[in-house]
Amino acid sequence: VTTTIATNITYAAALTRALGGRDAKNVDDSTLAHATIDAARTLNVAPDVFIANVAQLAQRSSLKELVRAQQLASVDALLGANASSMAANVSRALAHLGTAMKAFVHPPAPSLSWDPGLLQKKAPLDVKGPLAGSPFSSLSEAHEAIKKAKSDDSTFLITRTLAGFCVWRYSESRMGQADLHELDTKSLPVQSWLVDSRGNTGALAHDGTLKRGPLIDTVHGPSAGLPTVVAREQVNHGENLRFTPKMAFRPGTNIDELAAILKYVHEHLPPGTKVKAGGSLHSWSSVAATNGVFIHPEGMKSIDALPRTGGPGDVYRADAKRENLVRVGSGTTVRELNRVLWEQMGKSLPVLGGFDGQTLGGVLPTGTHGSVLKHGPLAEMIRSMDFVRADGTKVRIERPPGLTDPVAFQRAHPDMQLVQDATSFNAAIVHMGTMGVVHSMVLEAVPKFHMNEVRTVTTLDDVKRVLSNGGVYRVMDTDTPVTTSGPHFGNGHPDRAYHMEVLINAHSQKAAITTRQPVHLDKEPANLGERPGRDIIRALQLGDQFTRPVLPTWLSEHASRLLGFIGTVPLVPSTAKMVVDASIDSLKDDAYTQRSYNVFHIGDGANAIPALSSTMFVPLKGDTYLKAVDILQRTAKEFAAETGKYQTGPISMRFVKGSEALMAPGKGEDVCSFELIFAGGTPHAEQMTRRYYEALKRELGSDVTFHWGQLNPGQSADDVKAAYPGAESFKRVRRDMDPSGMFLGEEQQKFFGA
Amino acid sequence: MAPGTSPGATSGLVQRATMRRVDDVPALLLALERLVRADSRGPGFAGAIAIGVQLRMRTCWWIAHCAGDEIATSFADAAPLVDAWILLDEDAADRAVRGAPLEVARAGGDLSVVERLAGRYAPPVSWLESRARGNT
Repeated sequence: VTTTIATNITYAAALTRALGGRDAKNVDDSTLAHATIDAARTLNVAPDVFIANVAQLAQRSSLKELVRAQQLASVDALLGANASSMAANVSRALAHLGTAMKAFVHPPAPSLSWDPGLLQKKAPLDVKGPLAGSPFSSLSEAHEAIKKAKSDDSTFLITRTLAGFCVWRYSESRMGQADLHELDTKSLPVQSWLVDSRGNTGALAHDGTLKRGPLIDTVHGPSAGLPTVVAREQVNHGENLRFTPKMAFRPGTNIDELAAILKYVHEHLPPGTKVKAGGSLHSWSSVAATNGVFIHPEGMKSIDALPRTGGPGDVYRADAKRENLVRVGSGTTVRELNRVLWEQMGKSLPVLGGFDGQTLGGVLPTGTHGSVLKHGPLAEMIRSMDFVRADGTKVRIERPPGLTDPVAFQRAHPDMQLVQDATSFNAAIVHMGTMGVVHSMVLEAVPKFHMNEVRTVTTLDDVKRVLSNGGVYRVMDTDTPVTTSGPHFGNGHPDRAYHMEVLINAHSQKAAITTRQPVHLDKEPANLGERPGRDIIRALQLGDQFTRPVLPTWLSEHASRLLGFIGTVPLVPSTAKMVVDASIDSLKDDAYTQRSYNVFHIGDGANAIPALSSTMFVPLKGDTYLKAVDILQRTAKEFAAETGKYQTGPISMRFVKGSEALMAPGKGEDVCSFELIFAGGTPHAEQMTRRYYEALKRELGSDVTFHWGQLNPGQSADDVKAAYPGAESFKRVRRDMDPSGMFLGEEQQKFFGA
Repeated sequence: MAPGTSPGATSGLVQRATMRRVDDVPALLLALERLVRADSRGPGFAGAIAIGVQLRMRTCWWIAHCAGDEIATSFADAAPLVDAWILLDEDAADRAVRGAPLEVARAGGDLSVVERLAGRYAPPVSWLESRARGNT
């Protein structure tokens, strides 16, 4: 009911726009027909469907006919004087369609060869043509026909065609009897069944192997057997994106299931069908949105230590250091991995973002990052990636010399390609879902560690004083050598922080400094591993040192929607800057010690608010990012003066090491990320974000890069080309994986298409 | 109907942005549209079918959702998910408009829907059939 009402409202609004604000009751039929066609086009629906959904239109009995006449007239105008004869020609051509379709109903017989092994050479079987009665309407009918026609010198192949099940007969009399397992099935269509001369039956599995056993007569369409799920509307966390795929699948931990799905799409769905693998829907960008085929990630959850050297399933180089490596399924969430790594393997991820609900298949390839200058984007933890390409083939990609032993791998996975190439790997780790579907990855963790967090509030001038003249390299732990000393933040912050984050208000001088430092705990207090701030009583029992400030945590846990609303309070827009100041003030905390992953996490409450955000990156070199701070504040001031609207959240500054990934921000250099946060539902979020981006680009040029998983700040294809020197190499690798652009969303097509 | 297909489904930012105006649609598809629009009677069968023309940089689809007395048509670049589809190359589409038989490059789905469409909109072969269709 809700959907219907929403549809009616949307349609009525589109009609009002097409009528220039006039009421449908007050316009003549011809004008209304024109407006109906225009409005239907903007919503991408057929006019008849549009009319049926708008009560005012459905009541105008002559409207449908008028719309039809106007559509006909516009088509006639385009076709010109020959419109009628062209339509007649097409009508005649349709009469021949039945003949044309025969080629598809009775495709040529697939070639089938026999590989008897040592004694005889591999040879093709002679095809004797389709069995009388082909195509059959069911698999069991086809099987019955084979039983009747069976002889001891024939092998039968059943293939699924448009018209039904076609049975082909092959002769093997001169070669002896071919056994089922000796038949070469590599070139057979996805849906094939074989019956050998002994009567053994087998169905071709999606990995190309034959599964012996009785024929199964439950096949209904070429997608039968695939893990299809109901395609439902998907809404992202920020509630700024809704899409309804037409088909949806939920593959499991076996990569062959995923391969079978993509092979099905490649072979059976119309060319141009788009495929997107989803994550946790945390992204604000359309990176995973599609109205084509959607792959749900939840089934692809797995966390496995690498096998011991020489053990069962070992395909890795003998000299590879494995103690910190873990293979994870792309549907595993960061939260699930953190817990297992800590409790079962004694490991931690060295750096994390502020949220842990994303899937690894979503969070890593979008270039998501933390704020640790010794580490680049989280994707830099990847050592190996298993993909399924657009045609359903499987490929493992690694940076050379590679973790995997090529010989052992080929022996264990003859149907999977191994690519150990730096360019391919650097394209793959941040590929925004455009290269294929990631099934699993090997990540490198570190021994588990606790961290202490300190948060103080200061002024923006103080932040600039400390960070200017390369100060960020003095106050953060980095691989870059530092030879000078200078001002620090003090107040309990470490001399050189492992993690540092600065939160500023676009409209005031207020700023918060958060630093996080690994610490050694002799004994971990009970319950420390629980999620932070979930239980106020537990938080009070554990004491100040192990909990974040109780009141703000409680408020954000229990009143997140209210906080989100306050941020968008429409009556007095300027209150937004006071709310942001107050929220920055509430963060003060002189000590919070927890497991590292609970400290990286900013809290469930904060993450529950449906915020909107866009991130832009600016180089640290030459203090360029401090110029960006001034540009952002100046732009916010101008925007507020012009529109009376304010940024409804803080700006988070984080610091990221340069990355070799071709589509990572910063052209390989260290960057500061500016996350521009707006409370959910802020109507001007996109407009203000674009203004920020334009201003930064105007003054800093192509040094400004952006986050693929967040709101698009309005970058063009030329912007992408200028800001990412590796973009052309990325496009080449991407095309190899997906020549037809199956994984390119509409926006991505603009950046990475032909 | 194939799993997940949804005639007339409209939600989704991708689909919304791919709606095409008719001025860059191949003549074959326009002629098909004209053929269907000029016929005031419904298709008389149910099913969704797409006919595509593969152009140099894109594929343009004519999509028809048939539901007994009603037929809803549209043009799109985004590949539709329908009961049946056929794809022609650009030259074959041009030839068909000039009177040549349709040469189908690729096809998929439920052939019976294609047959019904062809049967409904191909010229009647007899006076009786013509009467039966109500086109006298």
